[in-house]
Amino acid sequence: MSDLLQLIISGLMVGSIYGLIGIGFTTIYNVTGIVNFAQGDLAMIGAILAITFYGLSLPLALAILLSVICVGVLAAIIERLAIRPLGNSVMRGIIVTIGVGSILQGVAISGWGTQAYSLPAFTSGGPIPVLGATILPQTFWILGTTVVLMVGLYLFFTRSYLGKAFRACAINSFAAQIIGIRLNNIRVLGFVLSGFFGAIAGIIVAPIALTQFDSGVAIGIKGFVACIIGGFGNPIGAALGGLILGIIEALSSGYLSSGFKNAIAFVMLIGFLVWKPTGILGELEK
Amino acid sequence: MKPHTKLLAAVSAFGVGLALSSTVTQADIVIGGLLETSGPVASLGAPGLEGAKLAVKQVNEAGGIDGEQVRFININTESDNTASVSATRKLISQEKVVGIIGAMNSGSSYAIIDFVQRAGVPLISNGGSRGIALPAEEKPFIFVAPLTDLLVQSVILSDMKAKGITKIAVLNSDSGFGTSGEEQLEHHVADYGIEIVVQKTFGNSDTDMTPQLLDIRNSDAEAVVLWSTGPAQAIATRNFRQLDLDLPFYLSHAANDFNFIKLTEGAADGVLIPSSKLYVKEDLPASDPQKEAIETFATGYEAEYGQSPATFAGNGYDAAMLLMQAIDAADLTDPKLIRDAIETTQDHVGVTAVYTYSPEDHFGAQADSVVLLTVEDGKFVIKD
Repeated sequence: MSDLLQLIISGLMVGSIYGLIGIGFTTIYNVTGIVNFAQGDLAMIGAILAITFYGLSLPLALAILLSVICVGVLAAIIERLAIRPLGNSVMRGIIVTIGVGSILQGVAISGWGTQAYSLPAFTSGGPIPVLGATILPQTFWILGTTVVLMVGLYLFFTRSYLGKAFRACAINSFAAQIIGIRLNNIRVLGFVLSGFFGAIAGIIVAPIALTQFDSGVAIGIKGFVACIIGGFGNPIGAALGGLILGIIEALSSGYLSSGFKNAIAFVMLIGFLVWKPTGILGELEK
Repeated sequence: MKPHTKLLAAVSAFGVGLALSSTVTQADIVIGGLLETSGPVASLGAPGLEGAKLAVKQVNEAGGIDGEQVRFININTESDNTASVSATRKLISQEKVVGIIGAMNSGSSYAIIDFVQRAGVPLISNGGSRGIALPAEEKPFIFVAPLTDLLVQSVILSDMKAKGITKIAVLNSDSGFGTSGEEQLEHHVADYGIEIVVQKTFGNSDTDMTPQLLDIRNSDAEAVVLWSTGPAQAIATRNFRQLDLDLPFYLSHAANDFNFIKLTEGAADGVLIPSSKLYVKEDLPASDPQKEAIETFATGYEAEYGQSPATFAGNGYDAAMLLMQAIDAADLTDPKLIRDAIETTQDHVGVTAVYTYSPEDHFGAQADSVVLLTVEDGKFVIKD
């Protein structure tokens, strides 16, 4: 029983990160149709910047805030310099994001080297025993941040003017332009949001998982799988897909063999692509 | 440019070239290096190169080998197999090196074995994989200098035997280092009357190893061995403490790294790590055969680079010193005679180990050079 609880907690924690990365995918995909394969690398850059700012003896909260803003700006620059000149070519856009990912990794290697870095946990204190399982305080931060961001994003999309404009562009960009929404601005917004979510995902997991130049690759792929499971383009679906993937991974490495873990994730990816390409929740309401 | 000025330019270029090449031939002994200063293995190759350069500098300052200066040419192999092959080609056919100090990356060493064998130039590899020099009779020109899996595992298993441990759990990453270390361990536990009761693997880029460790907690294992590298190794160590597993925890020699201690943020206290004596040089008794060699190296390194040397700097230094003492012993710069001299090296006192090579043993490092370390308050200390 306590083992099951421990595995589920482990799954929820890892799954939250996949979910946040997945949401980053959707905010770009919805307005451009592009799958941003540099998403994981944005998370890595976010974590490394936060660690660097903290190393310059800034308070932890300020270091995190500064890093999230920097990655948002970086994402906007990527849109302006690498994506917008391509026009509406989705395929070329996707390939460019793979290149952008490699560039970000290269920048990380030349600036920070190949060794791993760690960020201190947000609150001190040892593991907390709960019903025979042990939970790190950072796990609560990860789960809490994920819930707050999900609710915030939901309110933004449904209640705010900007959020509604964003959804309008996702549903029909041509009609949205006719009624006077500037598509280019919304595209930049999509990238900035994606940068925010990526950076936050990278930062909150950094105290547990450590960060080095190639940390983004694996979580980027898992975030992509989370999107496919939940329904590509649907932020709630991405979050749900992430949690499902995280829990299945944890349970399979706990009860089956850990060697199966990645295999199960990718079998799910193929299964969904073949039999239910719209995912569990389907695309964003269109 | 008129024709005759062109000719003049060509002649003077030729002259400059001649002058350059004549300064080159003044250093009669040329040795090559394949250490990587870029790519994923750069964090090992860069200190390795510093160590090798220091060794050459110390030998030259002491008058060189038989009065001749040694020139060391390193080509960055970029942690890449193809780059290693072309660098080796260049060292052997253009630079005419008499011996080569190999890359840290095991793959880079595997890639050049055939070429080096055909060229008949001795290679002292810095790769940690035993397969590089096995079987020794088919690879007469290939030697390995760093500590190998088998050697450090024999130290771990002897310690377990002394403690009366018979059942162990093994946790390893799915990287080459992790899986080959696990296979090696599986082959040899029985010799020590030990049984592996549970074996678990995790992905090298995984962020949480709690599920694997839970299975270990539920088994009747009396000790745990972790065989991994990089961040995964530090995360697994943290998870181990987080789950409150109260068992002896053995790590590989890859944990012998200050960054590992830093990344675990206290969780490394009490772990057991097989290691060279480099990090505990202050604690060594005066009678220790390696004390003087380690201090000469560490003092020289700190003076040259302004920081304490890492394990890999010691590996590069040892490989260079082994090669140069063999050149000295061979008296001639014939690569084949140098090879013979390496193979007959007896009790060469290095930083990492005391080396004795033979036609059957191309690894050289002796088991009694390996000590078991533990971590106390974030510092390496000898486990007594």
